[in-house]
Parts: sequence; structure tokens; C-alpha cells
Amino acid sequence: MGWIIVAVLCLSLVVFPACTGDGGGSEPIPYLHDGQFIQQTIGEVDSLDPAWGYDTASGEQTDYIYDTLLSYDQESTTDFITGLATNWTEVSTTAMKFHIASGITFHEGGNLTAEDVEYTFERALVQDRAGGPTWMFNYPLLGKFRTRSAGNITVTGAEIDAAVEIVDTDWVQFNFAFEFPAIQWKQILVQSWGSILDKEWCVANGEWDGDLSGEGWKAYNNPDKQDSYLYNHANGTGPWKLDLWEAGEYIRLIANDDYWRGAPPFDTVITQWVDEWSSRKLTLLNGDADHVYVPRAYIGELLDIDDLLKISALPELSNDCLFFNMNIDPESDLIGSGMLDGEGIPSDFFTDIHVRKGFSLAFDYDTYLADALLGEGTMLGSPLVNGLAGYDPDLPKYEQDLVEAAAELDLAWGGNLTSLGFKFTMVYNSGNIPRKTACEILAEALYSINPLYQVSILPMAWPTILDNIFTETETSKGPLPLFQIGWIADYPDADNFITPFMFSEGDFAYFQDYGSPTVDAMIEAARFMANGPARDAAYADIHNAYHDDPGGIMLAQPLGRRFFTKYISGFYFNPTIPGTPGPLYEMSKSES
Amino acid sequence: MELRAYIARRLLLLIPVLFGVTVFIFAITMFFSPTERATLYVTSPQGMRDLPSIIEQYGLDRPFFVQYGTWLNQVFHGNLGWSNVVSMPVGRAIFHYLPATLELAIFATPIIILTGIFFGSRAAAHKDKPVDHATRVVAILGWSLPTFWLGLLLMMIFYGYFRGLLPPGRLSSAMEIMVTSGDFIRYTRINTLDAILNLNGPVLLDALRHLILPVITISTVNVAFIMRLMRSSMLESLGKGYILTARAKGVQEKLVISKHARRNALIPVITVSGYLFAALAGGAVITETIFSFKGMGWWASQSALRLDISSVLGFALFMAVMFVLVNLVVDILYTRVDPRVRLGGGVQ
Repeated sequence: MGWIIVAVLCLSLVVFPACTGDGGGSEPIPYLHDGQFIQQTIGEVDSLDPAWGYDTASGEQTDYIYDTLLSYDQESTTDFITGLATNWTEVSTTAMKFHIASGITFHEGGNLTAEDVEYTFERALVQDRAGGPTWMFNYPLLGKFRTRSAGNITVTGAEIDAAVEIVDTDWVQFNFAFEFPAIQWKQILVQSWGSILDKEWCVANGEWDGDLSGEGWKAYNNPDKQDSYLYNHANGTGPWKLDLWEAGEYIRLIANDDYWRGAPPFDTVITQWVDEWSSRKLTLLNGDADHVYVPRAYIGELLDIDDLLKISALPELSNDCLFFNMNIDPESDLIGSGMLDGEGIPSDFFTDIHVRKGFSLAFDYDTYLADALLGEGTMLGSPLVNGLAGYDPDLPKYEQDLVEAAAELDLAWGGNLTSLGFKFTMVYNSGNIPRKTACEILAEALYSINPLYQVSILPMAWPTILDNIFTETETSKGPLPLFQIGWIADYPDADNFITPFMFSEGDFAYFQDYGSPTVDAMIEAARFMANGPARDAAYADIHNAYHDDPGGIMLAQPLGRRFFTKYISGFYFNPTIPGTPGPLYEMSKSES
Repeated sequence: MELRAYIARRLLLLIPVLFGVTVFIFAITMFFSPTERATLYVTSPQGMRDLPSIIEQYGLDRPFFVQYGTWLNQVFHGNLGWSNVVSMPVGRAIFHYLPATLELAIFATPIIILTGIFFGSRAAAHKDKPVDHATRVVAILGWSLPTFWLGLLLMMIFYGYFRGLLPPGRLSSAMEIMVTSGDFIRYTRINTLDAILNLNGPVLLDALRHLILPVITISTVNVAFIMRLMRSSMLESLGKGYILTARAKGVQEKLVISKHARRNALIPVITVSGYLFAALAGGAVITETIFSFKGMGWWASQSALRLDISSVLGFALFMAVMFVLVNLVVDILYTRVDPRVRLGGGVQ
């Protein structure tokens, strides 16, 4: 018995100091792994094929390996510097051409030519995988979002061929299907899907051969991911070369010492995928990682640690919204009786603007900001977020006013809502605490206005929620009365946020049965205007239209943070750079 | 029954087992709508507009038997499908993640079994004495400890408090670079074994350093179970007539315990140990996740969470084969422990 007591006492001596301490956080973080940049995060790479990847993890690695025709000038999202193109010019309002640099080689030794650039974009149009990013090329170049309809290919080889062509030997010209603003095209090209491939290498490894004359190219349309050699092989011109991708574990890149801009600052870049936060945190504090992904809920654990480089208040180009469904599936089991009898809501409950305004006024935005985002967010009045042309923080936005909210709800449904009340169920994706918090805030506020206003809350698996949002019957939309989902920028233009939320055929608006011909016309007019005061005014009008006729309760634009060891420097924030570490090629690591 | 014939018969039984398991799992996944299953292929909200196209591409709205038939046909052609969560074929994913799990199981199983047998038999031999009480308390404590809590606590102590002593993961990044270089041959992807085969001491030590905490975490819970099982089995043996006879004949108590009682008490422990090994080889989800020791459990849990049906089916097939084989080995082991047991014929 004695040895057990001794063992327990010894263990206690070790356990208690460890548990009451900060996990070693008060000790200086050692300088380790010289010449390497090691980060731990959670998002696994989907594919290294630039025309396939549409997630930030894939985009980040693609950015390290490949180059694009041009790049953003540091923090700016509207000014550009040269990349693989040394110059560019607008040929007309429907064409733009880029001069391709010479003397640049791919990792496998091939020389960059205009043919590679032409091939890259034509291959993207040919491939056009379902759910992928190439709609951003399809729309301006071919005039349609996808190359297929009902499973049939709806473009011809000649159309693709005409969209991208080599002119004057080393210029590549993009011919738009309609007048398309040059700045938006550049914003699209600068992202990872604009990464330039080596045609010869691709063809030698079984990719599409570049022939658009017959029907053969159609076999490469919408392939399975694994059908492409490029999903796990890479050959770019970028600062790092793919060394090893151990799926689910890590991806390791090694320096391209012959990089045309000069040797990169890290010999090795390792991205490890680690699900457990405590493990990531301890790895950072032990100096075994230079940067880790920190979920918002755990930020507080690192704030007092001196040995870290902490960067805060970074406005990310994303938002979250509680969408009203104007045409709920009458068969939904989330709307109680399906009638305005105090036991449910009718399927067109939210078509009454007083209901939507009442809900928008009832929501406690300050509490949401404090509890869900821990104070790190910006409240929004429309889908437009800070960092986009047209965003103006002084434009009207809803604030909680329970008296006003009660007054609006009193007017709803011919004045019957107050006496009858309502019941329905809101859902959130299980595990998402900020979204659960938003549901609770709304439910509590409505109940405080009138105990007959009863909203219950239900967690649901994310795939099930998506299934219930993006669905419709012949006469109605999905079964969710209110749904929460966010939007992340494809490219930093106001239209990329306004269209999904407000255009009647938009990604979200369509599944809400929301929108009007008047607003659609306003959106279409603003879409291709040049940035400037006139466009700002147009988006101010659109913003006001959303405020006057809310399609949802705009929650917030989150403010991001980054945590590095103190040995890392050179970070700057451009909201379009995928992944969290930032512009790695311009960053460095040193002990001093 | 001849051993070879017995093994053949048991292996034949695999066919209906595998068929049943896959039909069952496939049927369960059909409770999820085509859209829910299609979301596996979408990585951004923008991709949602293509869900109908994805459903059509993968035939997710076809009748159950058509989808199952397509999958089965694929399997007969040696293709278990594509694991979207880890971007590789399912067959390759099994061989990719199995070594990590096997390494854990290989190190943990002997510790669990030997420790459990030793303390379980000691407790039984000293029933109601301090050793017995202490063993039972430790067993209850071990069994009650939540794995995630124990794992995190150990990591906080031995990686956080004692700076970097026992890190998570399978290898440090420097050793990872070494094992993936051309100079190191990865025969099995079991790092400790490969290090021995390559005569590489630093990799062996590094791999062992990374194994200690996950092995302790897994062992703590499971030792408690084996300990309790061994104790009760031993107590039953000690009450048998042949023990009384041995004692009456004046056989030394040590010999009574080790030769007569313990050997007979081992049969249930062997059965459970077989299942324990099979279960460990199927992955320890929480331990693998906490320590970033990514193996079968991590892969299977990610696949299930994201409705990656090909992966889930591949994992189920693997587990079914594993359990049938372990059962077979356990049956053969019975004959070694207890000569009265005959294969296929029960106890003589």
C-alpha cells in the first residue's frame, strides 16, 4: 500500500504545478528549426490543381508553389505589381492582354512561354469542375457560369479557343463575352486559380493536350479529382517546390533556390494539420511551430504571453447572416402548425416586412459581438464588408431597440401577431458556438417583447443544414424558417458580396425567394461600373435597399488575429491572401 | 478437425460477413439525402449552386441497389473507391494510416495484457488484502478516467511543463525529413520497426519518445479492464476442486497460483485480449486525435463526420476482416492454453 501512496504523492507534485501553471507559457520560447517555417492548422488541402482548389488551404499551398500573372501591391486590393506578366493593357472594354515575362523556368526545368499561359486558362475552362472556382473565368470569358447544363456540355471548343489567344508572340489576350471591368479581371487572375502551369509537363503527364478542334477535350470536362495528375503533383514557377504531401498529416515544401525574384526566406515550409487546440498551443509555446491556427474561443489563452508576435483587428473579407426564408416549405416540421394561430407560422411568414424589421430591431448586436465574437467584429448594415469599394460605415444599420421592434411586430400580419404570437424552430450547425449564440440572442429578445413570441433552437449536422437550405420544391423553398451561413470573398469586389445576398438569382437570395426587379436592375448597373464616387453612390443605394427591405439580419464581419513566435517578422495583411500565415515570401525568421 | 480445413472454413465465412456489413452500412448511409452526401465534394458556400450537378455526376440519387451494385462492381475490380477526406484511394488510405495504429497497438497491447494479468492475479491471490483493495481502486480509477482528459493532462505535463520532453505527433520534423529522404527505406511505415531495419538510432529514439504518451493513455483505460477480468477469472479458478487438491497435496502456493490457477484463468482474458487488439488496430480515435498520431481511428472518424461513404465502407471491410482473423487466432490459441479444447468441436 505504501508504494501506492508514495506514487500518488509524487504524481501530485508533478500534476498540480502543471495544471495550475500556464503550460510552460511563462518560459521564453526557444528559437528552433532555423531556416524552416512550421505552422499547424486545421484545414486539409483538397487539391493542388489550381483550377480545382476552391478552399483556403489548397489556395495557400498553390500560392507558395505557383505564380500568377500579377500580384497585389502589399495590402492593397486594387493596386497590382507585375508577376509572370511584365505588362498589361486594356485592348478594349471587352479584351485585355498581358505580356508574358521571359527567362523564367518551372521547377521541373521548362521555360515559361505565352503558350503555357494560354493553356492554363483554356484548361481551366475545359475542366470546369462542379463546385470549383472556374465560374469566375467562365462568366466573363464565355458568358455563362458553367460549361454544362443538365449534364450536357453547352460550349464549343471554338468558344474556348477564342476566349484566350496568343497575340504578338508573347502576349496573351483574354476576350470577354461582354464589357468586363479590367480591375475585376485582375482581381480574379491574382488568386490561386490564376496560377500558371507548364503545358509541356501537364501534357506529358496525361493532362488535356491543348486540342480544342475535335470532341476529345470534352473527356476532360468535370473530371473526378483523382483523374488529374495535378491534384497531388505540382510544377510551378513559385518560391517553393512541392517536396512531400502526406495527406491528413502535413505538406512539406522546399525552397526553389532559382526563384526568379530571388531565393525565398525559408528553406522549408511545413504545414501540419493538427485538430487538437492544446497540442497546437503547446507546439507554438515550445518553439516547434512558428505559427498556429487559433480558434477565436482560445485567443485569451495567448494574449498574456510576451514571447509571441500578436497581430489583431484584421478585417477579413467575410460575413455571417441570419437569412429569412420568404417561402418556407409548408411540409416543414420547424414551423409548428404552419398557420398563424399561435402554434406555428405560415410558410410566407417573413414576406411581411414588419416581421423582418421587427426581428432586425429585436436582435442584440452588442451582445452578439461581445459573446459570439469576443468583441472582435464589425457590425454590418448590408452584405458589404469593410475593405470593399462601396463600403461606408456611416450608412444606416440596425441596432437593438425593443420598443421599436415591438411596434413593428404589432403592425405585422394585419395587427394580429401580438395577440396570436408565433412558434417556430431555428437551427444552427452543431458545434458552432457563435451561431448558437446568435439563435439564443434572437429567441430571448423576441420572448422578452412578448411571451407569445416563441422560438426554439435545434442543433443540426452541417450537411443536413446545407441540404435544407439549398433545396426547393415546385412551389416553395427549403424547410428552414431562418438559416445562418456566411460568405467569403472570391475576389474583393462589392458585387461578389451583393449578388449572392440580394440578386434574385443569387446564391442565397434565390433560396430565400428574396429580391426584386428594381434591386436586380440596381445590382446589374453597379456590377461593371468603374470604382469611384459613382459606384460608391450606387452601392450606398443598394445598401439602403437592404436596410429598408431586409433579407436577413446581418450579423458581423469578423476581425482576424494572427499569432507567431517573436522570431517571425515581415507580416502584412492583405485580406485576399489565402490561409493565415500571410505573405510568406516577404516574411523572415531570425533569433535576433 | 484439421487446422488447415478449420482455417479455410472460417475464412469462407468472411464472404457473408463482409457482404452483410457493407449492405448494412450502405443502407444506413442512404438515410442521408443525396444533397447531404454531395456536400462532401463542396469546399465553399459558392460551390453549393453545383450540388445538383455533383449529385448527377456521382449518381447519388440513384436507387439503393444501383449505387450498391456500382460500388460492389468497383470492389470486384480491385478499387475500394476514393477517400475524399484524405485525397487518396481508400485502399491506399488503409495502408497509409494502418501502420500508425498498428504501432500503437503493438506497443500498447503487451503492456495492457501483461500488466492486467500480473495485477489481476496478484489481487485475486491476495483477496481482501491491501494489495487487492489498492488494485481495485486503481482499476476503477483507470477505467473511469476520460481518455481525452488523461491525454491532455499528460501532454500538458510532459510537453508543456517539462518543455518539449514528450511531444505529440509521430516524429519530430527533423526526423520526418530524415525518414522521407532517399537514405531511409520505409519498409512498413511503422517508424520504430523501420528505424531498427535501417539501423537508425536517432529515428528509433524519436519514434519511441512520441509513442510514450499515447501508449500510456490507451493502456491506462484498458489495463483496468483486463485487471478486473483477470481478478474475477482467477478467483473463480482458485475456488475449483483441483486447486484444493493441489493445496491438500502440499504444492507450493506460488506453483498453485502460477501453474494451476492462472493458466486456467487465462481463457477469458485471451478472448478479450484478441478483441482488444482488433479494436486497437481499428484505431483509438481520441488518442490519435489528441496526440496527432494519425491512424485508422482518426481517418475513420473524419470520414464518418463528413459522410465520406467510400472511406467508411473501406474501414468497415477492414474491421470485419480484422475481427474474423483475430477470432481465428484466438480459437487457435485456446488449444494451446487448454488442451481439452478442439478446433470446431468445443471442449472435450
